Amino acid sequence: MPEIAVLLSVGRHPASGRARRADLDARALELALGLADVARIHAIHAGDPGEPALREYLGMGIGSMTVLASEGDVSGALADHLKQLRPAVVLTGGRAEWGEASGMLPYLIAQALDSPLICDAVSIALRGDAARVVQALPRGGRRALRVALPITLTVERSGPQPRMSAFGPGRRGLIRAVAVDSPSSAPAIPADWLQRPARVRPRRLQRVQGSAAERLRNIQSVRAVSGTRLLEADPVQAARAIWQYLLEQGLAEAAPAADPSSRTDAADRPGAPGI
Amino acid sequence: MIRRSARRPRREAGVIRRDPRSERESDAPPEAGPAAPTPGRTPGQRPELAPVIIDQPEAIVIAVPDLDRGRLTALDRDLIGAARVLADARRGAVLVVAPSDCADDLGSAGADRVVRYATPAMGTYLPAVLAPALIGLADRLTASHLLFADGPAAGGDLGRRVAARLGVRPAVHVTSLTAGEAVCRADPGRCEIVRAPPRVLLIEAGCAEAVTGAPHQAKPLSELVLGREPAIIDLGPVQVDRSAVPLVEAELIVSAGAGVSDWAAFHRLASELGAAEGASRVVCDLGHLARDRQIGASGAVVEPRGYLAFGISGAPQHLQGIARCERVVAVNADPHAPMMQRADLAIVADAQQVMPALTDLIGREKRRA
Repeated sequence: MPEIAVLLSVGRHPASGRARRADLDARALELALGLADVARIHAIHAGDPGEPALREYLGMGIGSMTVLASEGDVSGALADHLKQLRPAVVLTGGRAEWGEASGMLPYLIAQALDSPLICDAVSIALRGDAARVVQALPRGGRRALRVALPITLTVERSGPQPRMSAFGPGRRGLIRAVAVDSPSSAPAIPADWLQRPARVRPRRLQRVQGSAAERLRNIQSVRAVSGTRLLEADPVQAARAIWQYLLEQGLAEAAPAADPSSRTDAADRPGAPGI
Repeated sequence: MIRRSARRPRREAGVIRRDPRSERESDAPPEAGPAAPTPGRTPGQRPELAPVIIDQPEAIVIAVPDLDRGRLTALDRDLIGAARVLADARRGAVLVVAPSDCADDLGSAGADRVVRYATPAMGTYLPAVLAPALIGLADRLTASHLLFADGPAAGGDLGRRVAARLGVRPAVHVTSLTAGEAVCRADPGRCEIVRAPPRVLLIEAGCAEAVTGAPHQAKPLSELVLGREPAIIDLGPVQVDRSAVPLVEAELIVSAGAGVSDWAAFHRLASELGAAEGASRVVCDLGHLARDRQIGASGAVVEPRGYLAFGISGAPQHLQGIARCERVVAVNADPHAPMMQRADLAIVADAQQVMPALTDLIGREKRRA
């Protein structure tokens, strides 16, 4: 059975600041739970084993999790633990909810394990020694990738909605504390960096100078690029004119369903290059 | 009895009339704004500014823009501006890495040197092959900094890959940059970190001003050769339900205003087109569509590629929501509504009749294919 490791961190509620399960890590765990019947799931946290917010992850139904007792910069400890575990898939959220939140941890782990990394994963299907991953693109697009195992995936807000956490299984779940062989003494944020409360930066606005009447005239005078075409027609002719316009401007395709590469389970042929 | 003037011809159905006023206005030269970018420029006259040439740069700063469909975005221009800040402090040059199909004028955006890379073969996952090529380039030219755009598109992923390979702790979410310090946004939203600029920086929008004024040389250097990454194969795009995409990201929006009363037809049209549904304020107030569908000054400001407005008169607050949209189609019974002047294709007809006709036409076209 292939092993799946999910790296979890403690999150922070955006309004109250209370510690809770991190949203992106919970989505990563939800993605892993979708493979619960074909793989063995290992939930791993690096930090304080007594943290109460970890129970919210256990409440999602995973039964137990492993906590590496460490503090400060935990990337080394996690990498060593994963090298021993040798999972087929490592899942993690895109970035933390507190601290520096640089989002570098998945890349450092992928580097240490020498496994390819796919960011912004939405779904995963295991097929033998490769996996088919669907990645989210800007503007709501999706693309499919076939990656040879072992792989590292990060999950962003486009990932699956995490299931609710139940209190009973959260209390009954088991937390296994593991001591780290060589704990790193490096702090999470180096001492020569200065930390201070965020200052509100002024947004650059395209200010149109002038009175309210001038601003109104300005917004109303945004003309079409090529000059307006005004058409008076009966509904059928109007519909044809709109459809022609959409085709000309490339906003609609005349034959979307005939494209074979859009079928999800077709033979995995290479498609157009990425980006 | 009031006789209709015999000189005015009767309006014929199906005739396309071009608005002569808007054509005349678009022919007029653009007015000079109150703040011209360079001094000494008289309105209506564009003297050719001598390009800035840097022959022997003491440092190279590499900027890798994201590009949206081959064009430089505002974030990309800010990125090159930030690279200029670092380069000017060391009397260096800015090198921009761009794909070979980018047609934008990189010199006017501030690039001193340009390195292109060819579109990779089908099935190649670009970030995985571009990162090692960029590191090779940085080593060859001993670049002092590499800058990427920190965003949901390629830059955030590419920048972190490069930083991990180089063993550098990058400065991410940089909101302000000078030669001596970079201010990064941390602890999402609550804290800032101030540090010396490391070798890899990921820039947020608004970090530095875009380069204006004299264009730079944009001298092309030898092309970047991309390797292969056999472990990852790009299988191409997957069909998505485009109407489930959030409004601010949607590519095609169908919008309803107070002139729409047949809501079943509107929803059918939106699902047939695969477009997101939008609404004016009046429609949301009456409860026909949810509040998160509102487009306008107090709703969503959208930037779709195409916008179809049915029964919307075009109040200025609504027009503010679509100020950056290029292709607008408006269907309204009133030919003098502001939305009809704003639209690229304006149709004077009853929205209730056009919507089902359009739905049927699209259904027939799809079944025919």
